[in-house]
Amino acid sequence: MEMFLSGNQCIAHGAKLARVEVISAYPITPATPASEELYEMVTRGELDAEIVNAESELGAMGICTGAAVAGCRTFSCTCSQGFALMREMLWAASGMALPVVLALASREIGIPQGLLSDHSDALSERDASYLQFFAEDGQEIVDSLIMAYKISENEKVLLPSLVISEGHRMSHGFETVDVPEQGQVDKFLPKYNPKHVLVDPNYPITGGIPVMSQYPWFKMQQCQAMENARQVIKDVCKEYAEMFGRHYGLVESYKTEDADVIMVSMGSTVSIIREKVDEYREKGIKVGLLKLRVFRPFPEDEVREALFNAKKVLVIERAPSPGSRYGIACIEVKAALQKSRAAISNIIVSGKDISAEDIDEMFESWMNREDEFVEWYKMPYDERAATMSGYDTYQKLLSGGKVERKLVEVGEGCLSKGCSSCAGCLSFGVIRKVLSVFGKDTVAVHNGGCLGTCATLFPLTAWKIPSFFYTYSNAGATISGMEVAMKRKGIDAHLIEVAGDGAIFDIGLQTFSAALERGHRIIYLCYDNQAYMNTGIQSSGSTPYGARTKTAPKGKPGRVKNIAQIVAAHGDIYIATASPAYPDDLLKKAKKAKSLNKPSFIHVICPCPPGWEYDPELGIKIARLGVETGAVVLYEYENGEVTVNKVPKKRKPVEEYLMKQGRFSHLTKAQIAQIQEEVDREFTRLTSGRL
Amino acid sequence: MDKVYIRGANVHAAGTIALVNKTGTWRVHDPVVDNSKCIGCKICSQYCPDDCIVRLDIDKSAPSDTPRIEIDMEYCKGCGICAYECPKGAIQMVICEA
Repeated sequence: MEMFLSGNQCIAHGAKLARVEVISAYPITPATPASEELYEMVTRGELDAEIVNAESELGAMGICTGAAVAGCRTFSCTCSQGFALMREMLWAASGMALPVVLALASREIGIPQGLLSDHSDALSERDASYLQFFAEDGQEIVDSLIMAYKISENEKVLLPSLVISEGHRMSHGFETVDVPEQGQVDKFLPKYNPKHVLVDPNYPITGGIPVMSQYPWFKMQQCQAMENARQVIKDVCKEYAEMFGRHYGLVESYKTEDADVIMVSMGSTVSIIREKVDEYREKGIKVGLLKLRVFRPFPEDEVREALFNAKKVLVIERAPSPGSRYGIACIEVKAALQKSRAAISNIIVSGKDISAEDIDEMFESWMNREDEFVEWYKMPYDERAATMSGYDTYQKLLSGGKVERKLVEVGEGCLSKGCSSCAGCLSFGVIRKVLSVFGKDTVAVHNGGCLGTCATLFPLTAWKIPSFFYTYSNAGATISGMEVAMKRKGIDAHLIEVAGDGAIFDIGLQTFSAALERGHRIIYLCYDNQAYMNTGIQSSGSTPYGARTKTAPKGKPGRVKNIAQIVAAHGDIYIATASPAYPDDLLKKAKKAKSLNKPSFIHVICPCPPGWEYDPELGIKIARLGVETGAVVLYEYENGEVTVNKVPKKRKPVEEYLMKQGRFSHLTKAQIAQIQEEVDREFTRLTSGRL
Repeated sequence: MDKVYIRGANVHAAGTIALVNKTGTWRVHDPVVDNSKCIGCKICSQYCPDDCIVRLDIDKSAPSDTPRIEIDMEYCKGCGICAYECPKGAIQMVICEA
């Protein structure tokens, strides 16, 4: 059936057609919409699968690994830092011979974080024993995912697969795709029924066993499985072509038979080059294209066959390999062509989007040269950006000069105007307010989330105090390292970690907990908008019961983590909650945290117009209703006791708070009554002094 | 200037986002203040999430139509919180002219 789908939707359709049984993913741009689509499919009853909200990508891959051990067909999708965070479990899954399939909407790996496609995320796991399929369009994503399961689950292979597309060009671009019929796919792809690993109380096995001298055996078997995959891929592609009419292979050789010069590429760039080859051929140039579709196992024989007799080869690729002169694909192509006399050149484009004009330019400059060369495709230097980033100031520092900078005093605010936060964003209102009690002797750290993306984009920054943006999982670790080093160097400054609910409740909880345990003098400000708002509203550990998110289309089934109790379990920590509707109370608590010689945790529930689905002008009203209904309790916790700062004379029904927010609009009377009960219980407990 | 950036995308400057990102262009509704109603209570300024409202230091004896607040229209995103929270109804959100 023909459908008009984005690359991410193609990922979801491919997984659905493969009848995946367990799905787990964690939000990350630009791959998130794929899992959102799967949540929708499961909710609508179109896909019978367990879909598990993970707290991080490491968790998601762990969930997939466990589910695969227990005999289910499993799926995850991610990219970039998220894929990097999975690493430990990636190697576990391939080591345990689990045919997990992952879809990657490839993206540059930070720091600095980028948002375009660089194949470094996939290719840096080149040796993790994953079959790697690079798709050039949406059609190939769907087809590759279905085939990937059949190949991975083959007894001679039993290795995980990656199906790689490109963010945002492919992930968010729409095209017409022929989506196969489920019945046909079912005939093609039988149910997964593993025998080498299984969970059966009547047939006990022990899995994941450490080995000593036999280790190389297992590694060699992994390599052998990868070798076996070559033929299995060919067979599966043949069978797929017979059933569905689309032909794939390890590579695609396009007009290479008589070609003097051949371009080699992978991913979306291939589609552009293919058209260009036709155009150049009309001009009489004997040019061809080799598409590297499968990168692991690397198709040495096919590459050699296609390229051996060419005079010149140009590898256009996205992944550099720092320390090698060549990009990762070119290294492999050169290894395959050792005895060929072809002049092999390499253009590295990394994350740049490639257009037809770019291919013209690359082609022309390549045709005009006879030598072998390696170069980065043109990167216009933006002098204005360099100037704005303070390059001149840096040069002065380097030459030993003294630089006087204008610094902020307490009360001036540490963030400038011009942040890209949504109109009416109360998280930013709260962050600004809290930072206003700090001045030049303050260092801020933040990890992922709305703050990072709305306050900074090279060369622009809203920060007026030293600030550092680290990856998501590091809510406590990087700032701990900074605190230790600053002490050692005699730098006397306040340290404030500004993190969203995702970083504190979920992915960063481990490092946050360790930092609390060690007792660094850090002020943690959690701007809690109760979901992953920066990636487009997915449930977090802080999303309340019943709230609709993209990963809970019918409302979140579970409850909220009691983060204050978790923090309190670490010992002597000042804990305070606050609300954007009560700025004086918030300021008082921020000042108190600043004055204390111990860790502090300020937790502020921040209404979010798009995420909570309300008109931006109502933000403060909703925040105030939160307190007036007791859904949000403003308190301080010290020395084992809770002091509630605002006790409404008569608490309003929680329904008033809920019904102002579109995310709760679907709730039934019974659900509202259940929430009211929970609010009453929490309120009574807190007002009686217990956390 | 050498044709490089500072390594690690570190920016050795402060508040540069304000030079470029004029968020006032996002606005679809303008806050319009009726000075005769405004009492300079600063509720709007303390709730503005973008720090775009400043209470001016105006003597109580000043004529009633003296502006008591100043809104930074270069950055105001037009969220309407100020108008909604104003206890005197002194701010109206008026659709921007094209």
